[in-house]
Amino acid sequence: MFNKSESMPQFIDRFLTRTALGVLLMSFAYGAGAATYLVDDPLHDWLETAQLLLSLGAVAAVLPVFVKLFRLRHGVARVDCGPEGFIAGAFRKAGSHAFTFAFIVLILFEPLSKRWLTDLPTAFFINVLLCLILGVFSGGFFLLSRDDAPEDEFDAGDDDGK
Amino acid sequence: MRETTMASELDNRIRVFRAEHRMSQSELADAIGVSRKTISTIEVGRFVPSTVIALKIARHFGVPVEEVFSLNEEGHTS
Repeated sequence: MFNKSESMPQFIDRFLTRTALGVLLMSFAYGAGAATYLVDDPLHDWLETAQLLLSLGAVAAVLPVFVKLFRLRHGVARVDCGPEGFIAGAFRKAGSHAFTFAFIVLILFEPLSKRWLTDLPTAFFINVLLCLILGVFSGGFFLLSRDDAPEDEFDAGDDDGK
Repeated sequence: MRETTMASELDNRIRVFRAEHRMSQSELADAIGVSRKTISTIEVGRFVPSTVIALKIARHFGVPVEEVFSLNEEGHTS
């Protein structure tokens, strides 16, 4: 089902990390999408290609672990995901920060779109908003989940059999 | 910020119990169904565990949860 050395909680951590990586790539993709409204033809085409590649990269990052998780949770032998660990907590917290950030950006965009950037289409603002929200989410996740905890000292290697 | 404040208010003796049982972080993590990173971040006070994880750790060592986790009265400001 998954690597022999990898337990279910470790797989869940990997799944969430890969999801955050996919979200980061989507953030870049939406950023490229927003930039297409600001540049002329040669660069415009290049950005559209970059957007497509980044989107495919996001799918490639998330799909394998998503399929594996779906099979584990809904397969014949259902696997319990266990209690919420450190990485899941960081994921939830990053989502909460991104949700709050979304409202702040929307409030800022409201006067911006009405008074100064009136010639830009709605799609531009949606792309910028998604780029920022997803960027804050993934950036927040990687910041919150960084591992600076010390390594284990009581190795099973010098086990005396108890 | 809140995470740091909460974590500094909660002391734990997981490391002591692990040493007594000659147990690695990975072994404890496998025994209670969490990842090694979860155990290591609880130990250093960076992650405040859920009640379920706290009870599972205490049950694994065969002690009441108060023996593993306690409030740090010095770090607590009311």
